[in-house]
Amino acid sequence: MKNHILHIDMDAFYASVEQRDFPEYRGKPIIVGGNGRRGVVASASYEARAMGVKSAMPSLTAKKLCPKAIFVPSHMQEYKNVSIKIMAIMQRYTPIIEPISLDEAYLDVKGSEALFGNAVTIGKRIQKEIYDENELHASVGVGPNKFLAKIGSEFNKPQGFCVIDWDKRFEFLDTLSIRAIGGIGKKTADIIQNLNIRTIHDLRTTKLTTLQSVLGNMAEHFFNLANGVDDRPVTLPQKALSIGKETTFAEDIYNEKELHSKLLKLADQVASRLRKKKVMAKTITVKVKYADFTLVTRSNTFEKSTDTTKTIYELALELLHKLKDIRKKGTRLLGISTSHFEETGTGQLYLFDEDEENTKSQEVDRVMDTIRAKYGTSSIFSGGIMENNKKK
Amino acid sequence: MKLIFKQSAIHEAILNACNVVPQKSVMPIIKNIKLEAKNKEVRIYATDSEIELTIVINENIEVVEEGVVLIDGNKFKSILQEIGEGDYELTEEGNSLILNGLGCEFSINTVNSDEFPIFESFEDEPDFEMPGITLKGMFEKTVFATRDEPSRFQMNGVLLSGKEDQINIVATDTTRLALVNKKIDKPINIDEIDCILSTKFVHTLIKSIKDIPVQIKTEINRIKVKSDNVTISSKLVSGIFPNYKKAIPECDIEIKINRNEFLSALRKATIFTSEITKSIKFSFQNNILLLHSSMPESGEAHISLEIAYEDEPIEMNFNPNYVQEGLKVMTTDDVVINLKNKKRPAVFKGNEDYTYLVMPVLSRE
Repeated sequence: MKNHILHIDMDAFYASVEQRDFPEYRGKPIIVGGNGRRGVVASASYEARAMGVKSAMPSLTAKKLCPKAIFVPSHMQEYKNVSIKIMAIMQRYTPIIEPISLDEAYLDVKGSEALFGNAVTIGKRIQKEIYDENELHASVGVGPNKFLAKIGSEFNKPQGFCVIDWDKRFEFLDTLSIRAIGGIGKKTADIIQNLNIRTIHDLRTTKLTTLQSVLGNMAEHFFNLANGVDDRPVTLPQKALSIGKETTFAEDIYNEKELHSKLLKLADQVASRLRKKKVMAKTITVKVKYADFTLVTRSNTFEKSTDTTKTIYELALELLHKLKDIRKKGTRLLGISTSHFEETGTGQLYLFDEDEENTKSQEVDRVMDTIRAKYGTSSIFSGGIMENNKKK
Repeated sequence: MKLIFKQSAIHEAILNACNVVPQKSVMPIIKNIKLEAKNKEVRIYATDSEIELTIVINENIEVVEEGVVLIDGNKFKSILQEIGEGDYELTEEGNSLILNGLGCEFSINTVNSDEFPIFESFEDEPDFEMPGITLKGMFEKTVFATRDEPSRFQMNGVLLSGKEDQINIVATDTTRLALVNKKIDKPINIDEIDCILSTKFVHTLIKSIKDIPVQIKTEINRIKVKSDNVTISSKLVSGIFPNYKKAIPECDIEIKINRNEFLSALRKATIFTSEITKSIKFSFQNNILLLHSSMPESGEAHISLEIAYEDEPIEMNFNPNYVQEGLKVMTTDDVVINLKNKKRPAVFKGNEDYTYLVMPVLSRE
């Protein structure tokens, strides 16, 4: 069995980005996350980890373990930006990438080996390019499947690089705790440990039927993983099936005009997300939760897809008019969602599309998008939304 | 009122009248149809307040006693459907109309006929005249290209335009357009005709007119069509029809193709298209038209077809249903496809007088 799966995992990602951007944090125990009573550790630098701090740990516990820890606020946008750059580096080597989170992804390089060399070469190149271009370290695992690649990337973190060949898999697996298997959490681990099984070696040498008697359906999956067998493919992220936005109001709305203005704001937000994602929607759904908590949706699918604020608002308004109870009942929540997408610039073309009205609203959207890109989302609104805000 | 009639004499007329009767109306009276027996003939009236249909029946019917009644047309239609062919008698008795014959007796409640709208008459000089079958054919070749899609398209009607001895009928839903042109024997009486007809009116016309000359008269907001025994008038659709002439491109590429083979190939390729994204790839090259359709979740089809085309290869995508619908109403053995570029419509031509445009679908390159 050939090694063609890579698992790439950034080392202490958020904390490392902070240490990179703020030199005063370097070499110090950094915790990204909330400092308050209910705060949780989002990411800890290796200096903090050395004291026993782990991700997802309550901040209070972390403070006890590491009183000198410096809590820093997170910069999510920057982490996302860095993530895009890192994913782009992986894209140079294969299109088959399954991102697990901002800082972690599986890659299938079977098809690219002829071009770039074997999986190990590709893994080394990606690791080097991530560091050269971002001053951040990644750990890389290489193996014949996702499970072994993941075990590899964790093996000698940070800055690790580990190849787990099929023949040598048990050298790596046998001594590991069963908790190293994805999906075995504390509860499952307790059940298995009752059978006196603690390591992966214990698990794989247990009879499958014994495991099935306590674990049911999941037994075979865990048993296979313990044997290093994993046939889950690297799957591309699924495209969003719907794009929408909804708001729950501070006070129930009875005034129809006010509701229309809220609808316009939602249409504006949804349409600009569509344009950002470069898709156009064929189906528009309006969702209303009345003051009495009953939920209704109305939906319509059109042959012609759209991404303009004006059209989405008009279609949503039409759907809203179908809700006869809306005047009586009062509205607690309002939402618009869109689905059945076409990529912008594809799809059915139309005769007479140079229709003035249409071109005008597209032009308005384009200008609004440009202004928002420069000055922020709340820098410009349609008149309908502003008018209502003024009244307040 | 008392009538003796053959079922076949009035069955079709009642069917057509019932198609005009609205499902819902603010005027409950028009949910009925009016029967009027006078001067040896029976007139059937139906309206939805926009369309007015009058059908005269004078064959296989005997007026024994004159009179006017208003009845629930749909009930009468169901009765005629069930009783089948044969001779029947219809007699007004008090507030009922009694139908008798072949072992059946039905008593249909009648409604006071005074409130039923009075229809406009057709007495003026018509704008033009043409054979009913020709007019019917023109509508049949175009009306399918309209679409009842709420809100998105203002244009829900068929354009009738005429000048001198030329009559044009155009229909579009903005993805495709059908245009038919006919020369009439006697030039039209007025400068120009330019009006939009509702699709319901067009469908009523198609069902009601026969192969006898029809006279057409247009007014500011109404159209009237009269043949020997049918008169239909309708309110016009207000609005401006899009500039369809501008939409027809000047094309450099011309491809001739057998219509039936083309239709069959399209049907095969359509198997692998989905409701939401209906599009197949048309590749024209080396005297072959290759149709390719695919559905990632179910499979794909490659269908090839001999054509006369040797120039630069062209690849375009179309909704196969749109292409099929146009080809189906054509009557010639061969059709000619004219192409301009990937973003302009394909023009399909059978006879000289018929033009059908389909806008392409842009795919991801």
